[in-house]
Amino acid sequence: MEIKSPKQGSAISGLPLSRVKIIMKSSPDVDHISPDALQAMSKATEMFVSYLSMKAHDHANKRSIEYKNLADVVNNDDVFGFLQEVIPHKITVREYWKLRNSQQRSEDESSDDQGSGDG
Amino acid sequence: MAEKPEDLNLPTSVITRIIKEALPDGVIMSKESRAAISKAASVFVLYCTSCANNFAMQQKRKTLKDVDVYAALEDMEFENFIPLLKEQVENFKREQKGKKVASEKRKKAKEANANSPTDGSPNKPETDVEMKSIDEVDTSAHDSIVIDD
Repeated sequence: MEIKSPKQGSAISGLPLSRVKIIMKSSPDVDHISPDALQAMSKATEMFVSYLSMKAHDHANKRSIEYKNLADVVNNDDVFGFLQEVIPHKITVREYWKLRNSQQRSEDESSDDQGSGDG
Repeated sequence: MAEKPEDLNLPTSVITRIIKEALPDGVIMSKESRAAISKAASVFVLYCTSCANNFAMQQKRKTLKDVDVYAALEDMEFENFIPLLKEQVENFKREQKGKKVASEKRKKAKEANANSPTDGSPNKPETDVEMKSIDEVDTSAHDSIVIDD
């Protein structure tokens, strides 16, 4: 698939570098960021947004892209594995309660184990 | 760092524009999807930074460089971004170099004009060389500042 990027030298600016820098610096252990690295990261992010949009379009019908299409892409393509918790499939409330109950049950069991250990 | 949580989001307007440019004309994306992509972009920056930082630390460097970003992208299996990205970053470097040369020129001109010993602070307002420095900055500034209508 061809990767598009904003036209070079166009008047339209890309992502704000200051914002990208704040996000980068919020990562632990990052001290200094060279201007080249900041530029590269900003451009890479633009490409990523384009790429993800195009992938979602492949999964969607011709005219409009819905959240579901995006979730399909993220959960079917290994490259987007790191986004699985950011863009999960939607579930119904019924499914949510089921999930929650089963999680709570397992938590109860584990706390029971701890309780018996303490006593 | 004491950043606000909303500082970790990227501006919706820019994200929307990038999405619009990527899609064929007439295709629309729901607001919800756009918000999700915006969030994904933030996570992408974080993830990529973390990978890149690992490379920098391996090389025992404290400063993140563009090569680390390429290495991170390769690691994340986004290697198809790299050729175009390198091209764009090289362009950027060239631009920066041009600016640097211009500013050095300006500095030299300043030194020649004013023989004051308190030179070296570029932010210091110097009235008698101001006209000249503005003229010289102008030539380099034209490349980067384009007014959009």
